Amino acid sequence: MELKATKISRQYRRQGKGTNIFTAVQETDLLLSSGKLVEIEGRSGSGKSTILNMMAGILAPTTGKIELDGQDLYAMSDKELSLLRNHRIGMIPQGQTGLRALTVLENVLLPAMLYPQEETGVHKDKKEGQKTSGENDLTARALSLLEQVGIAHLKDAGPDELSGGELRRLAIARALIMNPGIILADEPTADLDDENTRAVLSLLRKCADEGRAVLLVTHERDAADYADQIFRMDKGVLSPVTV
Amino acid sequence: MKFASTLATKNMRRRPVRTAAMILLAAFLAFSVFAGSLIVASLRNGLKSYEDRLGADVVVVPYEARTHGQFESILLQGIPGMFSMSTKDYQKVLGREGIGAAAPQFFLTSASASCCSVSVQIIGFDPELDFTVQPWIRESYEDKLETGDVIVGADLNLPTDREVQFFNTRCKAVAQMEKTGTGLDTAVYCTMDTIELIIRNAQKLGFKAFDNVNPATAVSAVMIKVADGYAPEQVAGDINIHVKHVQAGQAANMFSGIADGLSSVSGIIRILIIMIWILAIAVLAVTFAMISHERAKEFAVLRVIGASRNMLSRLLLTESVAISAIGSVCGVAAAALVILPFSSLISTKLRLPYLMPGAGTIVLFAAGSLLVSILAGSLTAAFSAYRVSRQDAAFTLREGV
Amino acid sequence: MNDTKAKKPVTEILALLVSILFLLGMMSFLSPCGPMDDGTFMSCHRAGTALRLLSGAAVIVSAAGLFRHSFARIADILLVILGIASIVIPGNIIRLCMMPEMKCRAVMKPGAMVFAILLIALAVADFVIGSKKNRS
Repeated sequence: MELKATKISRQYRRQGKGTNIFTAVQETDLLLSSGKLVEIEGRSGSGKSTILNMMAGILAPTTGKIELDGQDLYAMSDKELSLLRNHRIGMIPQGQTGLRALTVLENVLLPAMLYPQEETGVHKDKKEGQKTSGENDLTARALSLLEQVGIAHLKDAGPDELSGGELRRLAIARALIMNPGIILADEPTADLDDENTRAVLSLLRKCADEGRAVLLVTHERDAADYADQIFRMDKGVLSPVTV
Repeated sequence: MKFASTLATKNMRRRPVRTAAMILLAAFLAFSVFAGSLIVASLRNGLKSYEDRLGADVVVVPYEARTHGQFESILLQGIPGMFSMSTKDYQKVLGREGIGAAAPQFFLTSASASCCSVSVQIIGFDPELDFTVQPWIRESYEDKLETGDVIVGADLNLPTDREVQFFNTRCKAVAQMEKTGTGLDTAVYCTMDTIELIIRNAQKLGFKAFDNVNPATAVSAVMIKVADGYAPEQVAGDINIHVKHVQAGQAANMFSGIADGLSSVSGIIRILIIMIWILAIAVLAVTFAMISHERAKEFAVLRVIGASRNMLSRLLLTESVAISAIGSVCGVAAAALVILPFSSLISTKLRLPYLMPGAGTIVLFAAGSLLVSILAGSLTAAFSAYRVSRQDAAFTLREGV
Repeated sequence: MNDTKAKKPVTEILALLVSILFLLGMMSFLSPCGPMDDGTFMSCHRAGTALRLLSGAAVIVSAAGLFRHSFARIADILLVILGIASIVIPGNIIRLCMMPEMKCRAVMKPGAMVFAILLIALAVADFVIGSKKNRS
């Protein structure tokens, strides 16, 4: 399983004097493979979140294409791409992303609520020994994930009652509920203390060790210790970093 | 669809005060259109009923009765009145040209009803000559009316023994009329023989109002059907010129005055409905815009976890449909609770013929009001739902950090 | 479980409010006409008295149901009975005035009907919701 970006770039049209084209990401390639954790580091505004969003299928590149096992993401219809994103990509977005009307458990179950089981025509990245999530197993799976991230005791709390670290862990559990083959994490350790930072990075490393392709976008220096491959993003240019 | 309804319900429950306020606005939409259409329909029914019940082309009454509006008050508002013309004037009217049929009526007010301090309108007619009252008396009673028998209007509450008494004259209510929506719903009908008996008893009791009334020949109004080849205007004009102390009027002129009144009331109701709708729809639309802005990040998260654009707009629309549906049901129920039980009070206050439509029509109005209100209320979220579906999730997530 | 500490259902609170408004209404704007000139009362006076008693009873019953959880379901049934009585009694069991514009017919009877319908609806809703909660 691989998520491959070929000659992708992203430009924005801006209002104002002078040149009105801003290049957030210069033309580049990127490959995410099963079992590997790829880290992109860089300062704020360097374009690393833009790359992640393009890889997630929520931001179309200006040039180039992104393929998941040979399937061009941006050639699909919105419905097909959304279904694919739901089943095969688990994204941990920036910031606090819990839905306030739902409890922690309901937030984790949310991706599984979007589509009835019958609509599942998309092939799942089922690992050997792991069960396919059926309706009856979903709650058990969600509780198990909450245990793994250490917030099972908060399952009935609302997101407003959680700390920053707990919200990040909620987002991780939610990203894993559909057992996706790809995890995309955008600044998952921002605003976390050292202990929580280590816990989150370890969890992501574990996801990669279990056979998932993981992309970690961060400006956390310690993240390099958990990565198989490191890139640096600087003013829209992606360059590999030799470890 | 289940996800949308589940999430919409939870979002609504999370902000109960805001949700209640939005439901109230939707209720106003339904209330105004249902109540308004019921009132207008009742006024129209009442006017038609009034037109049907009058039956005559020309109505002749004593001059004072017409100029003081006593006759219209009896017919429209059921305000009891009593007046009479001299036998000589009556005979003069009958002698004029162009009269196809003439039916005398006598209007009498009782001192009080059997239970309370208000007086009742009694209308006497001659069964041999009458063509206006008997056709619709026969809808409720086909037998011959004997002396002492009365037929009461639909709104009169009869005692269990159906006996009523006027000036010590015992009368038996043998039937009750269908509702007309006019002042005649509180009147009592009897033959001139019964009227004669009542007047004689009233005179024995010393009521001065009857001092100059001849019981055998008393006439308050003459209902005229014009002969072929004559116009009502012509006949009325001729009577007004040649017979003093009376006023002949065309029935059509009486309707046009009331029709104008109905138009005014209907117009006011329409304006009120439009104002309420504009205000309620504007506030609902703005509120949904606020909701979509407030939850922009949540919508972006839903996009990220795999919700399609259609799902996002469906989510907001589900909320607006739910709020509109609940509000509309409440509004229609509230309107029914106000308009239906209090129809008598509304009729009295409007001072116009007022006849509620049948149950089937009311149900149709209710269904129509529900449909229109739910549709309108739901569409207030349409623009916001479209914008939500078009939002750039990547940009929103980045912005919301 | 302590009855007073449990969260009060909205339906029970509303039923009490509606009952109080009903009683206050019957003592003011919904009441029938006063005595006639000769000091006697019209036939609707008894209907007004009956409605005052029924609305007073509704206040007591709804308050009891609200503050005593164990009595709540019985209170719902009693409120339905009181509501039906408030609709049926004026005009059917106790006569009202002859003329439709008299206050008893124009205001008291329809007003009592509105309050009675609201009470019945709230009592039924509370019964259904309460029974579901008890089962779960």
